[in-house]
Amino acid sequence: MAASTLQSTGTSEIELTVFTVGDLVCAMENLRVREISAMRPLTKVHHAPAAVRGVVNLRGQIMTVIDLGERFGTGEVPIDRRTRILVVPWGEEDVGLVVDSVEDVMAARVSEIEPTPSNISGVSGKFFRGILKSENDLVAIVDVDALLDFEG
Amino acid sequence: MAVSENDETLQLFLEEAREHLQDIETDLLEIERNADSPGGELVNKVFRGIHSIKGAAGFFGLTRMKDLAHGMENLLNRMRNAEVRAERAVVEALLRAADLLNSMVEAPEASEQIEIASALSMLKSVAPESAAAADRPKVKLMDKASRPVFDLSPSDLESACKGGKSLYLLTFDLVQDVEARGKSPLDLLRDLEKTGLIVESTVRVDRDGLIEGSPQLLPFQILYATVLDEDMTVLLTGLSPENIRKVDPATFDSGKSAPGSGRPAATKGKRARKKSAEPLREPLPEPPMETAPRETTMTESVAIPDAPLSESRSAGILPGGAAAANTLRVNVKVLDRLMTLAGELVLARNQLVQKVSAKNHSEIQTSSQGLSMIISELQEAVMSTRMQPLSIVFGKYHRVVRDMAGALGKDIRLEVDGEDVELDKTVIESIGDPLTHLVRNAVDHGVEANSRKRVEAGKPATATIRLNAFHEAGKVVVEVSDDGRGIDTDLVKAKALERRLVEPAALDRMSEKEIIDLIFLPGFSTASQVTDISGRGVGMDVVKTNFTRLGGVIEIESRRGEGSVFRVKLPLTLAIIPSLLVSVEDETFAIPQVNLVELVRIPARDVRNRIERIGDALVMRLRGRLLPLIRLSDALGMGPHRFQHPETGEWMIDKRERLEDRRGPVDRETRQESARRTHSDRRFHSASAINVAVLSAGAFQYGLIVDRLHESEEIVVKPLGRHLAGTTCYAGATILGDGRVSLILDVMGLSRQLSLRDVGSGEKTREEERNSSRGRDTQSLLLFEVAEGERFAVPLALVSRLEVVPRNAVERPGGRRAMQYRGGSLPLLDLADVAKVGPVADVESWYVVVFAVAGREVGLLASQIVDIAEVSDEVDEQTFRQDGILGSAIVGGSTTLLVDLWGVVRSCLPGWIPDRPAAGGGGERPPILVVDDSPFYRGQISTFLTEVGYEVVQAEDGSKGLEALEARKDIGLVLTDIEMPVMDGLEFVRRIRASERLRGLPVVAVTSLSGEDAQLRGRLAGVDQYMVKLDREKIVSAVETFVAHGRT
Repeated sequence: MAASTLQSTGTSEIELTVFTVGDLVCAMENLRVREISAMRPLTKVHHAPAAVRGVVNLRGQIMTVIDLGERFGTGEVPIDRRTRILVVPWGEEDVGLVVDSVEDVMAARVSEIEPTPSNISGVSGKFFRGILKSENDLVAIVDVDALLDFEG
Repeated sequence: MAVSENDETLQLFLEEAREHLQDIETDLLEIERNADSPGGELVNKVFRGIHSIKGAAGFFGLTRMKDLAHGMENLLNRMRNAEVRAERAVVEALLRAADLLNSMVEAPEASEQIEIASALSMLKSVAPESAAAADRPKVKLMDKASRPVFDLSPSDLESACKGGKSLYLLTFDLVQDVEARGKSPLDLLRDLEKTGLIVESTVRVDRDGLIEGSPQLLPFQILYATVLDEDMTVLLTGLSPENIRKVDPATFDSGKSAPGSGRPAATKGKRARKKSAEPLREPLPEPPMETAPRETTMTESVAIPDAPLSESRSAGILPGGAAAANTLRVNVKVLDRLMTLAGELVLARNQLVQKVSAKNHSEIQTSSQGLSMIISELQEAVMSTRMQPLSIVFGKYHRVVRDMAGALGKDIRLEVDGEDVELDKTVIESIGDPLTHLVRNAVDHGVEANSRKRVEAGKPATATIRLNAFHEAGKVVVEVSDDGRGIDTDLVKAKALERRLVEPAALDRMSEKEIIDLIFLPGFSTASQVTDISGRGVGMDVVKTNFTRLGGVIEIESRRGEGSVFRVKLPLTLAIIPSLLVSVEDETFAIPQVNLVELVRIPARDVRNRIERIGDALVMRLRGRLLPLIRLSDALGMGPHRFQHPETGEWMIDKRERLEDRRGPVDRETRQESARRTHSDRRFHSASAINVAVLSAGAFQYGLIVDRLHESEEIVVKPLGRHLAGTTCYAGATILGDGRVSLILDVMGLSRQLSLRDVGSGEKTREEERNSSRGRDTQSLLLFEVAEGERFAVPLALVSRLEVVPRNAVERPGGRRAMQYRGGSLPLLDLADVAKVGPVADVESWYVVVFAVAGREVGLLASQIVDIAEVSDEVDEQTFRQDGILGSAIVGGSTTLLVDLWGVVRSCLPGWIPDRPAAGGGGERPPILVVDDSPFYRGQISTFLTEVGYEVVQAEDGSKGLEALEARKDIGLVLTDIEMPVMDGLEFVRRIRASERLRGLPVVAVTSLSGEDAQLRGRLAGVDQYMVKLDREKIVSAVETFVAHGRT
């Protein structure tokens, strides 16, 4: 099912931004990423959902920043030189996703994408749309909407 | 032709219809007021509005809407012609129809299902046309193939031709003549309306309607009445002459008696009114099409425009057309973007100014000042695009006042002033409801029910309600005033007491203004006060909250007999607000200045005196009143996990007690808390002073404890993302000069956080809440300490005096303590002699609480007198019950033990209290009914009485009491509390006095309510005597007296 959603874009090849969250190598369609930003001064929001790391100033807009490690349940992403924020448009706003690092951009054939197992390295499969097996690595393709929808 | 609903054209039409309808109410009411000078410009205006709605509705295939508009138009037309007077019923019918039209416009997709028959018949019946006129059959305009194009009533035709207008049948092609020119059909209609009247319009899409041979054409036919001649009509419409056909109304009569068939159209129109027109046969020139040769009427001069025409064209606006539009619709999103940019500029300026002033280069400074000014102006200009006039809000009140006054039979005039004052869109949109409430209140409660009363008071019979708006000190003031009866402070007082919103004693100290402000208290206006007219169950507290949310302030001025003014001060905008920046640890927050009352800094040495703990909450003494305190770090749950108690989850209590700990003894602290306190106190460390921002959240105020108070700044409010929608503590965020995001605190949301936590933290808090907010039956208690840290209380009413005795002046005759007192010796008792409590502390001098038992005085030693507090009678009689202690209550945040004075004396000085054997005294001892809702007091009083040999029957409220009196007819005396649920003591006594059988029963009220007022009310109800609760001696002796002598 997951792979078929990707196919429905009508292209046989998709461009992916590859990033890491903890030990997990993840990827997201390039089309979903508006920009990749270095970590910005973060303001904590008390009483916010646990996965919300805080808010940052993105050129005058207040952007909610979600910690993908926290969202995956694998623990908060430690902030260091390599920490990045993936800026993802979501409805009328932009949302930031904190990841450990951004690795690469790669192209993948949709046909190579396999369905998601029920969990990947202990992270629930509901956050993923499929996995891609390269020679020595497993790349989990995230489902951005599932990540951002806190109700589901 | 049904046009898809998301069609832009339809949206445009709906928007325009809304605009027409917006003023219609006001206009109609104005017309009604000027009913004696009919046919004014206003009627015309309403007519035009409705007319254009009708035209466009027809175009969109919204037939119900069209028919309704048509019905209104007819009536309006007759008003215009002074055939119908703008009487109440007429205006009423029009208003109803306008309401219906409004709802259709709001939901066009459902409009075809809306029932309009009754509205239509109302429109017809309010001013019935003469039979002849009504019976006139409709006229059909046919095309050459005898297909009806338009159905018209003769009167429509007549009115269309009024004023020398000619009728034209215009045929536009929607594709070529409209769309290809970049216009919408609506633009077209609008243009045409400027110079004439659209009588009817239709689009033919049915197969038959398609012009033969040219199926791709979409003919849009308009019957148009104008004073323009054919040439100018050609120019105006841009149609080729063959698509314009002049229609002679005379031809409608199809030759039947047409003596004036050659006369101008206008005259024909007039004539037509007098006779009965009939459907016309083949009367019209065929509908225009392709290149068919034009008929007679059009042949004359298709040619060159003459001078006046070119003038009017060069002016760009046609003669008689609407004034050039000086308003412009701007998408709110565009404005928001502009606002964001302007905000960004402001921030950039702030940064620049900061940096530059540090470097001190005068030239850079000059230019940065210039920049600063430009930005301020830009900001203002952008903001002004969001400004809207108050007339949008004020407009609807004419109707509100009229309808309500009508329903209430009051004669009220509404005066409106300052409707052109502008406020931010957001503010305008949100003040409607609370203002409506104020207006309704003024009509319902403000203005006297009877105009005779007004005349007697020397006021005009017609009451005036005034809406006024004006600028003052950078804010907009909106006033709703009436010249009615004013607020009756006595009624307010009575109601506040009845609803237990305020203590009688507190009431006595209040100024008139403070009393009036009581109506803002939650719970002041409740169901019993709700009338159909104004109530709707919304209290003034909600009104106040609504205004507060907008950053507004409301105040009342009222003089009895003269009227009231409700004055609301509103900010111009909500997008940029002055705020105070505060911080806790390294986090900075903004508090909107409008919510800020004052800043209080409590020096470390005063913390102990100024800050108290009540239950689990902190309060601060501020000029004689107690202000609830909340620590921002607590409210936001900053670093909560470390403090949370694993079993009870009571980490909040832990944290809060720390502040209060400074008051208490060290051993208590260690005993209760050290186990849980594993961290150092970050926020109140090292005897630091405490900063409190006193905030007002709607009807109540609280203090927010923060680490540091910073400067005030104008901040740009920005929204938070959707993931944070559930966090009620924030009103948004802003960007500070250093580029960091700072959250704006929602003062009301935070206060809710506080109360949420109160509910969560257990029994004591609930009790406490009841104490403070509901103001139940309360009792004045004297609070004192014996051993340090242990609180005791005795009812103040039982205390005769307080004395101070130096420790070395206390004698110890016979192993007992005593002091020289008024020439005698006063025995001094230490509670520790009786109860398992700490012995009186070793201080320089003791306080002596003097009270009387068995006709003699005795003193109780205390190390410290703490306070006198009003406490509810929620007493826990289980937990701490022991000899000398009646029970416990939470007072001022501490568990306080209630001293059993009588019990103390009995065990320390047994000889003082005469033994009264049960059933002693020889006389008959009837059973006694004790009625009190507090189990504690009921139990106490019962004990007093059973100890001296009475049988006691208990009941928890008046109605239960009555039942008991029914069940036990031998009851000889009633002791009752006054403040009780279900049936209070006063009512209970009234019932007793009203009963034949019970009338002679002695009733003693045991109460904690003091004051002559309360006693008087009791006596009026039939109470024989007042007693203070817990005054065992007096109660017992009163009972004895009444039992012996009955009612006196």
